[in-house]
Amino acid sequence: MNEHAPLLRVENLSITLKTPSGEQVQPLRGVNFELSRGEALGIVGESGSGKSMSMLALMGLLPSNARRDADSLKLGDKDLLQIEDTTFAREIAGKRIGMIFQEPMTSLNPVYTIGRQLIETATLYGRGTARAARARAIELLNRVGVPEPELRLDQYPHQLSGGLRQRVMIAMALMNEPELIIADEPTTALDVTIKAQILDLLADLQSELGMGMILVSHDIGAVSRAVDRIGVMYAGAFVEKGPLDDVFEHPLHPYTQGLLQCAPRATLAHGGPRLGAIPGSVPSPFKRLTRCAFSDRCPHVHDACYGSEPALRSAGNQAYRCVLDAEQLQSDNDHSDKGVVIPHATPVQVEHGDPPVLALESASCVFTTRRGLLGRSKDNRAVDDVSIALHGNEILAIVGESGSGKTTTARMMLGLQQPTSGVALFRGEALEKSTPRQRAQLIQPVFQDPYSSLNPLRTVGDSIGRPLVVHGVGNRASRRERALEIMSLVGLPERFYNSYPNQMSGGQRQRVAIARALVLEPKVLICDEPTSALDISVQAQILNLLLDLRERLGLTYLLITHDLAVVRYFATRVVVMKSGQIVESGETERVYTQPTHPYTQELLASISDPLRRSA
Amino acid sequence: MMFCPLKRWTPASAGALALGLTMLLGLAGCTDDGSQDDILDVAFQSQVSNLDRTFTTKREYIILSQLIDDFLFDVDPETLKYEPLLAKSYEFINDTTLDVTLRDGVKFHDGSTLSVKDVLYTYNFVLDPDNGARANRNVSDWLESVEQIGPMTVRFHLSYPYPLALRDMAVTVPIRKAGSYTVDGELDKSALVTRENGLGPYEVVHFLPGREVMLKRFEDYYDGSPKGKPAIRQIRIHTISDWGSAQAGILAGELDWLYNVPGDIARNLDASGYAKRLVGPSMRIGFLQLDAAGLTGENAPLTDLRVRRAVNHAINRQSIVENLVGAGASLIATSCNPVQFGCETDVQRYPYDPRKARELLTEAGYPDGFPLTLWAYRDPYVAEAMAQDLRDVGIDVSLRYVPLPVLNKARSAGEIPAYFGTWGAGGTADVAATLSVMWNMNTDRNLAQDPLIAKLVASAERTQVKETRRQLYSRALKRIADQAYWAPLYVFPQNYVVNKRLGFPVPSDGLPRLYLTHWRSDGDSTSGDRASGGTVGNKGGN
Amino acid sequence: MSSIDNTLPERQTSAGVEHTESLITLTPRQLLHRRAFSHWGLIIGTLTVIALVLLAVVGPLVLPFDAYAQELAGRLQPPVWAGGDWAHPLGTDHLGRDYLARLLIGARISLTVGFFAATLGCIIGVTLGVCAGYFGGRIDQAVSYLLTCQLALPQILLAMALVFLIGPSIYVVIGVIGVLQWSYFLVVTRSAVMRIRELDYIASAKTIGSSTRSIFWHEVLPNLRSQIIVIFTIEMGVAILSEAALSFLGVGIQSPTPSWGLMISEGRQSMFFNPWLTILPGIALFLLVMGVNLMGDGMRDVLTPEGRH
Repeated sequence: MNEHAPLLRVENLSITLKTPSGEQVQPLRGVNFELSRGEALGIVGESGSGKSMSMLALMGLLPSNARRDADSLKLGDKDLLQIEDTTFAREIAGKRIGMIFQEPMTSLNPVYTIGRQLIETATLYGRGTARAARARAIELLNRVGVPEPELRLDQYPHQLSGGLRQRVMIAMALMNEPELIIADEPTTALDVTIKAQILDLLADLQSELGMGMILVSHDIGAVSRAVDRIGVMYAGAFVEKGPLDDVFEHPLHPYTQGLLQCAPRATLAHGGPRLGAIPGSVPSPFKRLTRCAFSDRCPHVHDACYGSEPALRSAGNQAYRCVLDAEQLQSDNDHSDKGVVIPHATPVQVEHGDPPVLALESASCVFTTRRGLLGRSKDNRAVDDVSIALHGNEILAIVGESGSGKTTTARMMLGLQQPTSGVALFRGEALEKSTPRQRAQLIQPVFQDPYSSLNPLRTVGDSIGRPLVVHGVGNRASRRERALEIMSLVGLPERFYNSYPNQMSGGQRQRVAIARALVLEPKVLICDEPTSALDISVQAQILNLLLDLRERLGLTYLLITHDLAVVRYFATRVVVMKSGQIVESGETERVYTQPTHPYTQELLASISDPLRRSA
Repeated sequence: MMFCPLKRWTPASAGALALGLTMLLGLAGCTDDGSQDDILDVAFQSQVSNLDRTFTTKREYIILSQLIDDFLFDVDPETLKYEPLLAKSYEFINDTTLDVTLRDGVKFHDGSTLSVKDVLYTYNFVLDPDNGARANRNVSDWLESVEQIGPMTVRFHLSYPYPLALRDMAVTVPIRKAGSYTVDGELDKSALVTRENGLGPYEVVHFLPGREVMLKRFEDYYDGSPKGKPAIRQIRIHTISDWGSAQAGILAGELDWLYNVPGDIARNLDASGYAKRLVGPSMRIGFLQLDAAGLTGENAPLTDLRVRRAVNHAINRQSIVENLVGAGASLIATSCNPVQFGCETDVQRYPYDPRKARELLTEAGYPDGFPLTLWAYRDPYVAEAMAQDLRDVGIDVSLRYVPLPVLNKARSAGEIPAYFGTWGAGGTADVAATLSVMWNMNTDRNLAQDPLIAKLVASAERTQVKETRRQLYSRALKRIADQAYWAPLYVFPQNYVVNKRLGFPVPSDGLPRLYLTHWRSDGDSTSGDRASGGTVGNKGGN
Repeated sequence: MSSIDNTLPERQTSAGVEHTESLITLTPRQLLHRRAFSHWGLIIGTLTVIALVLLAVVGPLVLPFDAYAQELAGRLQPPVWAGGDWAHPLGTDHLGRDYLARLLIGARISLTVGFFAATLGCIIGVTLGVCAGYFGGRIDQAVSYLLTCQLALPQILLAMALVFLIGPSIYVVIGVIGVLQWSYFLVVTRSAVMRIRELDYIASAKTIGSSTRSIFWHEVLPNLRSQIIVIFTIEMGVAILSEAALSFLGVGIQSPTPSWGLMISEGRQSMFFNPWLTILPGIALFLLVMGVNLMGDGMRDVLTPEGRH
């Protein structure tokens, strides 16, 4: 075996799918890359980019209606194209290639113990004895940082936390000393602090064991923490490849440039320049393209871009897919970075003299669960003696990890949840005294999941107009007018009026949700993770939209999120919650630059800024 | 609800499939005869759960009782006269005194010999109302006392000259061994329910109440009995209430004798060639009883004579008898079986005339008819046909088809405005057996409650003079017809379906005597030889 | 905001404006149609049911035979293929009534009873299910207890007893079957509502100020439509069979009204020699229930495929 031969070599990998309407489309087109031993490659992209599909194609896990084509697909000197499924399962999967998935909850079998699953990986097909496997399992669990490994072997997945489960997944991937690890969104479902730990762990293991690693993610910051080289995918193909630092410092492809501008950065002070935005949205993977995939969104688009899909060009260590020259793209980017006046994100001053618009005073929310009718009851203090004041025109962010109680707090302020003690106040009066109708005209929510927040059987127009129907305002014609008015306010073209949610993208749906929230002219919008489910480029659009709306309509926002970068960009004031209690609060910049509580410090330490390395 | 909602192959289709299979099997499995095992397999529709005739009245028990019990007298199946059975001889000293001399050497099934003591015990037991013997109702009316007057002679003292004394003795009082109902010093009326100790030509070998009775010929049955000695050694009585199963049984050769077979089935079975149909007369008549007395309501429509006459005109008896009941049936216009003594046939008739019926209804004030619940407990096809006939003249009939006990209960509660009833008169060829039961003022069977008829009927039972009786009955029956209290329908034929190799003499009174059956070697069951000689022809055609 | 141009990217505002290329995705209704017309079971089932409904509704009006006219002289005529004549194509029953006419009226009975009994069960089950699923807590416990009781009852025996006590009529039969047949509705509705209850558009409806009743009517029930339709068709098949069973046992539809179950029972006695008396209504029942079941299964595949949301 040649020592210098690449570990993995992929040439011209494509996937062809048959759509329900009978067309044949290619969600993955002509993907090439190489991976040397001991090297870590990050693949970044938004939804529809094909990044996960390429990994599935590699592992032969595609659905039955998809066809995989490639010129070459080699692991070492083993040709993966020619190999039989059974041979692949026996010799490659789990043995030479280890895979880590996104959802540790569902990728571990809930009915078997951890130990059994770990040991099984190493004893399948007679790979090894159970005793040896058990010893190795314990060794690996130690290595990945799972405390008390002998105990854990006999536990079931549901007895471990998310972070621990993911560590177990990593251990499982490593059981057979694979040459290559593929991690598909390994940290997306984890809390911020855990995210950082897992990524560091992966980086350490990879360099220690000399394995190759492919890390696929939509989170640029996460990827940048653990890889050497990076590839950016868009609409089924690579648009840029190169060493991490090079790509981040001198992005060549307009998409990469846009992407880096879109991402909010937790290291940039609040009140800085607006987030960049890539107008438009990610194309549906079902569309067959005969032009540059990015041409409809590119700021540098020419006629040449519409001819055919450009090929990858190299410029030094980097490769990019564009008709323009590297220098030209470089300078354009630098230009757009400096000089052009971009309006500031938010006015920093906020009047604190006035009474708070919305407030919680010593509110607690205790959930009592009881096993059966007569069992013992257990109290869960989701929110413990919390006092928050939301002042007019400010943007207050509540930050915390899962289980911190931030969502329950938001629900109490929305009036959806009664505090078990304490009180929620609107303009000084108790919230529960008002009827839901009265509350509706003052406070409105924007939820996280744009699909589940819209009734799938309603058209956009009906969804937006629904609050008017419930409040008995106007007639059908006037409601339609108002709906269209709001739609243009949030940037939705008129023709969407009769569309259904399942015909729209995530960003569009979220705009609908925002439009619906605005229809009754409320004073306060409570946004619960409004952009967490969206792609980065779309996230930037929505955040900027919210900022615009606040200026035009004089709104006040309460933002619930776990994303520290978004908070620093967006919010004027921050409250940090942990286990149902407020541990720190204050103006954004103060909290970020001089955190007092250790938990806040821990959170801030886990931030990964892709551009920090260069700034 | 009851079926798994996701089953594709529904029970209906499975049932149809099973049905087809059963038919194939049933027809394929037809063996020739069951006579090789010398057991006569008979099937009753109704359950046998009590072996003691003293406490039962159902037809099935009467048939069984013929086999295992003997009475002082017996009804000759051909002549319908009363012959001495256990009695060697009898004499009416005067109108109210009867002397009966017993035979010698008659044995109970347990081996002991019949004596006067047993006869006295039996009749005294029956006379005591506390014992609840079924015969008590009849017998206590006319019998005052019994006493022994000779070593084998009993004297019966009647309270008045009752014309049917011999009949009651022959039909309702089986002779029991003295002390049968005293167990461990206590009265036990159920002593003979599951064990019997009779005097008849057969004894019970084993008994599964409600399912099966196994009989064996009693070898010590006395010579010279008018019943003769049975030719078939064993009889097994099954209970099969479903005609489908009964048909399957006879076709497969598992059953040898069915009676009370519906006309359609009997005809079909005979036509199949696997069994033989025998038709005989019976004493049973069918009729509609109408609530003339207004028991269901003061102004019930049927209290009006015109309405009752309309009902009589509305029923197409001819068609029903021809098409539904079949051969052996005969129409009646009077409320008794013409064969019975005293049955007056020259009475008012109501021919089938739906138009006239409508006129009468309109006259009576029911131009659009009225709702009527017609009850019935047997012969559903006939009941349905009559219901439809009534509907056709505008009476909105809803048919309630229920088991007999339910009907009896409803009738005694006064809930029945009209019902399709039948009466077999115990097989007695004397109109008294019908009229006294149906028309006395104390019975709930009397929906007319006519005191004049009751008086006539009662008087006719107080004399032995035939002519007097005949006249009294004639007046009563004419009045009944005039008043249209009933809608008399027809005399039931009795359809038997038997193994082709079985010889079975068809009785004139519709009461089958199974002790007269025998296996034929010539396949002709129509000639029924009695084991002790003499021939009998069956009285019906096919 | 500046004007919206659908084709070129909007550069002035960093908030962006939505535009996309033409959409391939179909509306929910179009998707439905496409799925429906390619599902064989659904098509066959629906056609069968429609054919039987047409026969039931139109047949008796068009044919010259009376299902109630008895003609004793012409009883037990065989059907045309067994030696009968076209005056009575399917023969006559034990009272001389035309069998074809009786089968058609019987179809009306089966369909009517099946439909209305299923409707009654639907109303009860869905109402209970929505309340139990939405409110949870004590109400859910009470309803679950009710469900356990209902499942423990011997259905046929109870139906027989009720019909016997109250008196047999078609309304009683419908009522009895409906009241004993809501468990499936309840279970499915309840779990669906428990899932929907957690979705954000319900929370959104609450914050808009919708009353609970309004939420039930406009948000929850429309999203249960598909499941309810599927269960309804399946339960209709069950109801039809239940009615046939009750009529067969004599505690359902009473004569002279023809019900297929009753016709089977009436023909039992003559089964050996006039088999068509039981076979024909049996086949009719089989066809109808199979059609209804195919329709229900087909609808389930089309309306609620896996992973719809």
